[in-house]
Amino acid sequence: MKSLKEYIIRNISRIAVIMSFLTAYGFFQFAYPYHLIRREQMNLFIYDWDYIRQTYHGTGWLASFVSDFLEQFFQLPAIGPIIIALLLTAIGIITDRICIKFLGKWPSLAIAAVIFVWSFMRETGNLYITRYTVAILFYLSLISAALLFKRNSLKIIAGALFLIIGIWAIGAPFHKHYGKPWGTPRIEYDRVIGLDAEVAREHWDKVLKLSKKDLHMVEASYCYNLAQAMKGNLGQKLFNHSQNGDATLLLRVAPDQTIFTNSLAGEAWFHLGAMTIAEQSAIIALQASPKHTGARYIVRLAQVNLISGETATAQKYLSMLSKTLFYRKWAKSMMPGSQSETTRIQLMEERFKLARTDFVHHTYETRAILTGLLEANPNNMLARNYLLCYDLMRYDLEQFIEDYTPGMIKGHIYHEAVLIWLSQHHNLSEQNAARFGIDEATASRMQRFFRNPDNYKDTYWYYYMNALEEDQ
Amino acid sequence: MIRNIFKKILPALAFCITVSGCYRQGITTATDGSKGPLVIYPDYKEVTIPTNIAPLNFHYAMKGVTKAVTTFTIGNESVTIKGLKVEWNLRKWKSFISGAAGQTVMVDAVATVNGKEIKDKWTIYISNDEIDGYLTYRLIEPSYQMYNEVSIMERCIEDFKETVICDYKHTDNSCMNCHIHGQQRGDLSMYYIRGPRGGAILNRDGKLRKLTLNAPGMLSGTVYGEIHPSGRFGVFSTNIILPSFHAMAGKRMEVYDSQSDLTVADFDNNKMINLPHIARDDKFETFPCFSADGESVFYCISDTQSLPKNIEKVRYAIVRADFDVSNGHISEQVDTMWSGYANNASACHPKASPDGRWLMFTVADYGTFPLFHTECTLYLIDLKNGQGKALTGIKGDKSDTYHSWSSNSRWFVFASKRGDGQYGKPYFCHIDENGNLTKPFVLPQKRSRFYGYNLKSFNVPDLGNASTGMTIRDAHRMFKSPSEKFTQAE
Repeated sequence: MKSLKEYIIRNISRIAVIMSFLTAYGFFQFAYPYHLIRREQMNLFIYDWDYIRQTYHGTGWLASFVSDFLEQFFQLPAIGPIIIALLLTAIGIITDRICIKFLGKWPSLAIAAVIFVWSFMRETGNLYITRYTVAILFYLSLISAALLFKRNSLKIIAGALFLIIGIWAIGAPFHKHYGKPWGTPRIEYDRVIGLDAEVAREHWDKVLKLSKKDLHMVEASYCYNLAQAMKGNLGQKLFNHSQNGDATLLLRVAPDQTIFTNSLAGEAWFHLGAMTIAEQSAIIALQASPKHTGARYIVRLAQVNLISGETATAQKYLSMLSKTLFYRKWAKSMMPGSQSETTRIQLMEERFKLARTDFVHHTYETRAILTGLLEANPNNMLARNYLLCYDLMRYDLEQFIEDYTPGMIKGHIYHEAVLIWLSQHHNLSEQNAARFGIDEATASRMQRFFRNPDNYKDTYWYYYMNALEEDQ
Repeated sequence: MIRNIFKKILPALAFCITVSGCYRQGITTATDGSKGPLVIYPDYKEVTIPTNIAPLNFHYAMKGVTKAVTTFTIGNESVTIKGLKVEWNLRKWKSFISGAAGQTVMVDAVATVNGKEIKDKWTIYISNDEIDGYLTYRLIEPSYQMYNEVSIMERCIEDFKETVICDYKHTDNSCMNCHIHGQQRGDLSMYYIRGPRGGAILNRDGKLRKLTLNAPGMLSGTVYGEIHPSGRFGVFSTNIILPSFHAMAGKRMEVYDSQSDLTVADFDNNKMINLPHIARDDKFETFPCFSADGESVFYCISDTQSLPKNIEKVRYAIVRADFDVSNGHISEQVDTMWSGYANNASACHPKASPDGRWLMFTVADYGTFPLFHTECTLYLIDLKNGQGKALTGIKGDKSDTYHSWSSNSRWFVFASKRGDGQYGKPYFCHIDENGNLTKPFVLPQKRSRFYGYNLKSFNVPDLGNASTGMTIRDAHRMFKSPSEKFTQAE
């Protein structure tokens, strides 16, 4: 036991380094898995000297350059947390090396621990800013380098020189753009940005899993609905959680929405085929990215313009992406003139979704937009599902019956709505139900629902009944 | 240990940059490159330029191009630039074209494309007419719904110096609207900072004032407008502006006014002059500007419509009304300069040339926001005889809008989305005394590939014959200072 204690004391620095690395890595890998992914989506690093010279200039260019370079790797599994853990650990190590020149082992270690924890924590309250960590690391390195000089006068001269170089290349060590001086982790925030990130990656199962805890939030409920819709289950599972009217079905892209909501809103519209809304959503989100060059949104803009037939616009975005490390392959495969047969067919299929008749709207006119998409392509099942659900969530059964084609689309909630409509028109009979493809089991389930509604919370009957009760 | 880390990381970074970097040979960024055997971007072939323009830097924008030699010749003097990027040293360019006004630059190019040698030649004509040396614009994403981190810039077009007039950093990320010159004067201009601490920043004889150009009864604060040659008045529109979407892909956005009127600001007496005959419920009035002598106001007018439903029926005409310089009143009597109904089209952004000869505006099929109307074109009316013509010879494949005259009326700049269709870029065009035009050319940049990587529109480019002298410090000072109130004139 004693020897273990001695071993720990003897190797405390190494142990601290390992613990620091593992803590930082573990935190970003397991507790905050989406922060760094989101960061990568909002960043773009282009391998072109012209772009580099055009983008990284003025004070702080080096910190900006290095952080952007590092952030591109955040999309790889585990690499982001490893990079951040290395940067933070390096901050601790260099702080320790500086302090040990003036103080003893333990005070140095304590100060290093404080700087490490501070650098770590202050970045957890909001979206991680790698540039800040890089800037601190650079400054500490410059101090450390200045201290290498043996003569005090040289140390002072070198320190002053390095400070000037630092301000020019790294930027001011403290700046309001770096964020708050202290932050505390917000796990629910990570979940929300995780939802957004997974929606963009079209990982629908992960979206469903992540949204579960936050379904009371408009954005989470919207993501849940979108994931179910993309899996073809909207008609089956729409009421698996409590829906608050049509507010969470499709989000508007409008100035009174937050940038985050506007950005998320474009996802559903993109899959539906409403490209003008999807494009505007991506441009709004692009504006919110640190250099207005978020890779995810440039990819989306390229997709939108490829589908819309705006080849020159798409080429501009694809050209940029073709000079990145991780989007190069995709961009080259999508470049007009270099597309494979499969890509061309996929784009053609997406183009079939586009509206053929024009009108001007503010995205409030959900029904008109969806109807327009269905007129262009009656086989757009996503639009059909959304239209039917839109009718149902607005309790508009007459419109629903007009839009509904029995057998064309699956979903028990549609059958439940038909039964209510038949009942309202005093036409509820086995024969009439059969005309809509509704079997006897559903009709008898309705009878059981009236006996104990709370057992049927996932039905349209329950949703409708609650509305009736609220009216009364 | 630190040394070890750096020993490993730095070479790794260098390796990554070197190995994965510089894919630049493969795919070009040109989207509206030149015609001819060799494609260059920006397209500076067969253009007419002023002597005081910055170097026309361009690059060869063809797939498979590996080597290029470009030789520029004026008379007996030649300059040869080797490489795919033809980027001039500023002094060398200035020395090369100085004294060459009225002459033609012969350009001979030889490039290796896919292993084959290809030759091309073109000319650049250097006009005798100079252009105003300063250009202001707002850099903004083509969003029209939201803004973030907007800046207003002033670029010296004789070189590459760009100055920030106002930006988000010094105005709490406020929105701001474009800078306009009065009579192309550097010491008479205006821009807006929006939001609670905002106002119209008026630069009159170099003295800055922050004004609240709003008074009870007005639809909104002032929006589009121009400063009177005397500097005392400004004529503006007040608009309720609504951005909206087209359902059809590619048509992108439509912005319309649900209401609009005109107003006149008296900067000497801090009064807003709102006239009942202008504030009509059955008409939309917008985009006012003064005639060169300041005795008339041109503006766009349309019958009101139920919007956005009937957006395609909105046809703005251009009318001229007398302007009383003694009291700032716009006459009730108007002359129709160009009829929207007769032409089955809609006009916007009229601007009179400083010599009083021309009125230029944009014509689109309908509406008041032609930025995404591919059919829109610039239109020119000769104010001497009233005859007009669409400037189809200089029309790009996308929209051409928001023009501004040079003070000698021999050049104008306009924002064109030609090429990529998304981002407006400033194009310059020469016009002679008979209204003949030359091929427009885009604002030269220090790096020839600039536009390929640029993701912001050059919004409302406006020419000035001198620098405004305004800086971000001024913007910050104005932002923090209280605003002068304006009241309704009796």
